[in-house]
Amino acid sequence: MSNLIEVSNLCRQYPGFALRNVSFAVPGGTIMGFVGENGAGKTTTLKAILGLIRPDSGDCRILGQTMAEGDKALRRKVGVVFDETCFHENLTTGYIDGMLRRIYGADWDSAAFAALCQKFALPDKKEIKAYSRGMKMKLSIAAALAHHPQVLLLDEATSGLDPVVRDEILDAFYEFVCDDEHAVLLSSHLTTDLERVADYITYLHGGEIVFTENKDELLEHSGIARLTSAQFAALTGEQYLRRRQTPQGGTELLLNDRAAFARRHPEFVVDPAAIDDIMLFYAKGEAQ
Amino acid sequence: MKGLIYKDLANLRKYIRQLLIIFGLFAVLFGIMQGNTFFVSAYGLMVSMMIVLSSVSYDERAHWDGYALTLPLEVKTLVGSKYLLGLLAAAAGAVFALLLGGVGTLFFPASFGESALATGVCFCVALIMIAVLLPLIYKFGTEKSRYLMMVIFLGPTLAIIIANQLGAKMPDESALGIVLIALPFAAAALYAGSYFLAVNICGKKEY
Repeated sequence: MSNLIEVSNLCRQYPGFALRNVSFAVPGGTIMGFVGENGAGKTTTLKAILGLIRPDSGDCRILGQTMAEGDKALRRKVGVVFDETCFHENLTTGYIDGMLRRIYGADWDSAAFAALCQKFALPDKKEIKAYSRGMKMKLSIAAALAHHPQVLLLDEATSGLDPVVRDEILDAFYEFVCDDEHAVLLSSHLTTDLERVADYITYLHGGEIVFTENKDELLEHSGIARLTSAQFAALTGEQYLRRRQTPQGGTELLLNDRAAFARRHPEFVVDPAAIDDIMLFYAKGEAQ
Repeated sequence: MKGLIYKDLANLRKYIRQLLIIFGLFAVLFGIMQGNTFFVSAYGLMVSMMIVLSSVSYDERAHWDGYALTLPLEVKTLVGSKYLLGLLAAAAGAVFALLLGGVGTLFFPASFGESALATGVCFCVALIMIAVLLPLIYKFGTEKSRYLMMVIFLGPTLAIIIANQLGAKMPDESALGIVLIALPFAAAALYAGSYFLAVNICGKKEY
């Protein structure tokens, strides 16, 4: 199983923000969930992968190649959805089909595009300016899938969608990665979506990667120990990832092996940690 | 390239329809003006600039360029499509003015040669103005460029007025003849040079 997307040691300095040594890889046949707070650098990383910004150092590759200017063959194999639709407000689905058919040539599948538009219940006569946010998102996803790409990169593609549509779209991603030739990189705030479909989770915090892990293992092993302040004060010699105070005065610990911790301390309450919890620990808690 | 022009025409279709209606009104007005096509030509000049400016400003609003560069398109194609659009719009205006001029000779004692000359001059000036406009837009964005345009085009006008006030002589006819011959070449050279400059500007941009 080879990596279809590879980011290695990506660095980019901005005034007041920097991406530092961002590295991760998306193997074929998998969906990578890319999580992080607003401003953590997710969009910047995606843009670097797409060659829209130039890294100070490091390397981003899709299918082993960089998206350097002029490489049309590679671009045909990539589908992209940004957090806002990039189609002009006076266009309709018919015009978008006409435009992309002329841009992609034989790779563009008008029938597939029409089928996706129908599946997502997009009106064919309405102009995009009359679309809701959810409809715009669905349109962008239909456009990204209709040239049968190998790699999909999506920035916040499921935000603004109702649960039913989100479900349909996540299913579409699931079908998309049915073989090793396809991969999805999906950045999202909606970590429940990622918990459902992602195979791996990469967590970006303040421009740096906190972890890249197999989602099932992550969710199986991560945990939160809920301690009173007295229990915490008495706790010695325990390793934990992050700690935070609760408003009630207790202390919560983020654990990377909750079962082992629970065996050692059967008297404590230990719960599984969701991706949201993990993010909160990194954003608001402190290290050991 | 075809897809990009298609996109601009489709997106601006209502605007273009309005412009055509105004052209129609001009045709009526032109009857009243006894076959003077100069206004039609000048209008074509303005319209071609407005179409280019609107198409870029729609692109900006949709954040189109960044997305377009993830499609099998290159920077030079994106930029080139705007120059082609400008050329098409200016040519359409010129053809319309020539048609009116041609029809005019049937009804009025107007000279087709004169109206054709006016149209040709306006066409060249349109290209020159687009050639100045596009690199500015790509460098500074459509908002700031609107003001820059005013400065750039008011500047020469003011200079001529001031020169006139100071008693400078207007060029004589032979000098004008040379200008008229040089104009198409200057326009073509500027248009081509401007395209390469714009590609260079956009090549350095990040999206």
